[in-house]
Amino acid sequence: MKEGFRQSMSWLHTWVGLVLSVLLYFMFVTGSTGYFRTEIDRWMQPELPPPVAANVSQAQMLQTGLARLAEKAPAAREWYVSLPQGRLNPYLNVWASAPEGGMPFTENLDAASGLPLTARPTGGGSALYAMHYLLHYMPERVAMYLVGVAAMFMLIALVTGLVVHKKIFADFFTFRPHKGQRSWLDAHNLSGVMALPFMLMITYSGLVFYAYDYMPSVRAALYGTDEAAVQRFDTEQGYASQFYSAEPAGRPATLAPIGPMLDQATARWGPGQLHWLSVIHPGDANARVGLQRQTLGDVHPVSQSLWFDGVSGQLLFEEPPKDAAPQVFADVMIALHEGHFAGPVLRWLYFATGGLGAAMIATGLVLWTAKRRQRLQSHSPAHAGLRAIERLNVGTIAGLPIAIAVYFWANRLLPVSLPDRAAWEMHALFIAWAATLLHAALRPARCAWPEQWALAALLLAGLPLLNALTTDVHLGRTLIAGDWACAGFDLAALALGAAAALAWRLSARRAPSRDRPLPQAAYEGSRG
Amino acid sequence: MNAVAVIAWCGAAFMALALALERHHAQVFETAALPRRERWGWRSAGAALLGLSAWAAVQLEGWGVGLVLWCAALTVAGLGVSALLAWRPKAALPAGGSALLVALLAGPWL
Repeated sequence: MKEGFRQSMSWLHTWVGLVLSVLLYFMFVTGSTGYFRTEIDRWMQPELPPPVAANVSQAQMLQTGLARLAEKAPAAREWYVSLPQGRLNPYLNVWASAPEGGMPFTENLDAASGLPLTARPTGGGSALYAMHYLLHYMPERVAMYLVGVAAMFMLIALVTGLVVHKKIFADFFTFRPHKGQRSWLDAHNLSGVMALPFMLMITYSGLVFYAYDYMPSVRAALYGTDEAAVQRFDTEQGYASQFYSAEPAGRPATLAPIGPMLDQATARWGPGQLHWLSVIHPGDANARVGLQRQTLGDVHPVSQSLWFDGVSGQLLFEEPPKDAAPQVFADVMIALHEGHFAGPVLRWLYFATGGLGAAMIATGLVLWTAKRRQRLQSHSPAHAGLRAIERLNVGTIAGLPIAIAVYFWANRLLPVSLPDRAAWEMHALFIAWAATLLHAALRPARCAWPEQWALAALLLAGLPLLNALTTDVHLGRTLIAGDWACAGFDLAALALGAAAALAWRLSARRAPSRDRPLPQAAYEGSRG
Repeated sequence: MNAVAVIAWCGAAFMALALALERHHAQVFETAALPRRERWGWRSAGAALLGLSAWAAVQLEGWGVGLVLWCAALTVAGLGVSALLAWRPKAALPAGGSALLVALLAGPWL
């Protein structure tokens, strides 16, 4: 009975792990870059000055932002002014919702002078990281369900993996190099076991983000389905939906001064605590102004908002504290997932552990093929399914790093005036990925591995050089100036390039005969 | 006292726990025998150090962020110990000792 259970868990682990592994690898790799999203944003807009804390009051910055929005997007439905706050939002940023059939307007402003900071159009690190849950080339809802199924599969693979791992304590620290399939299994186990707290947390909390969308009947059962119920639910979640969905009156009116509203916020939260301001229907008699704060320094972030009548300036709504246990639990899960509270060391550890997750998926994939190839070596040639997975592995595991490197190369090489430039950076990523998959399909896997790793190494390690040739925020300057966002990117690219070079060396050396000495005839037959 | 010290505590703890396992004990000491008492000695030392590492992390960052840091430090230290045992088992004991020394010198009492 016990063996039967373990065997069925092993079957489940193998197939649940395999089916969406490409998507999961993609989610882990792009998601890990998210821990340095704003640093990547900055590297991809080298024209921007290093963010400096301007000696300007929050009231003044709000005025600056609102004046700019009134000038550039007076007819927009929604305005946002985000105040600079540490690494997450380095600049004073304004945003206005898109007019009918247009694009939203957004700009970073110099807090002191109020002048726009212009830079090349790019999706930046934000677009790269957002793909780990929005994917690309598909509607948000489709992506949400795909990502949810993948996360659920991952959770099942993690738990069944623990059941299947017979000698988890005896093999806790074990890695046996140069032993073929054994080494792959060790690497798979080691990356999974050592990073287990992270893996369970990141997968489970990933599901928490969309929990109410995945299981809408829970909300319907507890709150009801009518409009008032949805609003009550949203309010408890800290989302004042009645203000966002308010209808305009259609009569023009002047926006009330922001100063007294800010004073009320300061009285409640203390000075300098405001993070962003939103205006719904600016210039309309039914305008609403929201002031929001979010503390991100702890695993339990606190967010609060105040809403005002935008014309009379009267306080309409104060968000109640969200201290119900399930809400706190969900907030902590999301905070753990996003890691905004992490300082530099912990942030690097988050990034590295995310990479370990990708490595666990990659070694699992290689193991799947290694096992089947070994089983088959004594007789017939590899069947089509095995060969397909082998090739898919190359184009995914080595191909995706190439594609992401190409995304950064495109950022430096595409003409600044190219229409839809940000979209083309992303197209470059997917064209490159398709090319690596095609290359992997055409070449024998044992050649494709080292070739793609060599290319990944060149592209990644070449980034600092390309940066030096095309901009003046290169290592020669950023290291001296202590501009760690940009310098860190270049140094990380070098380190990842070195890692890819190591993978290239290992895959070039790994002749199939090293795995297991076999009679020549059998060996010939197994080549795919 | 910083994150490096927490990783050092975890490294020392994991090294002691690894020496309570037959395979790694044999790798490091080149004797097949791991008497019961010695096994329990390493095991208790490892468990105690593991407790200290958690305490150090909580001292440094508080309960919330501290425990996150502790988990991350365990991951890094565990991989470090595994890598040493895989490629440089002879260096494992000195490395574990150095980690303990670093941890003690950086300790939360300073």
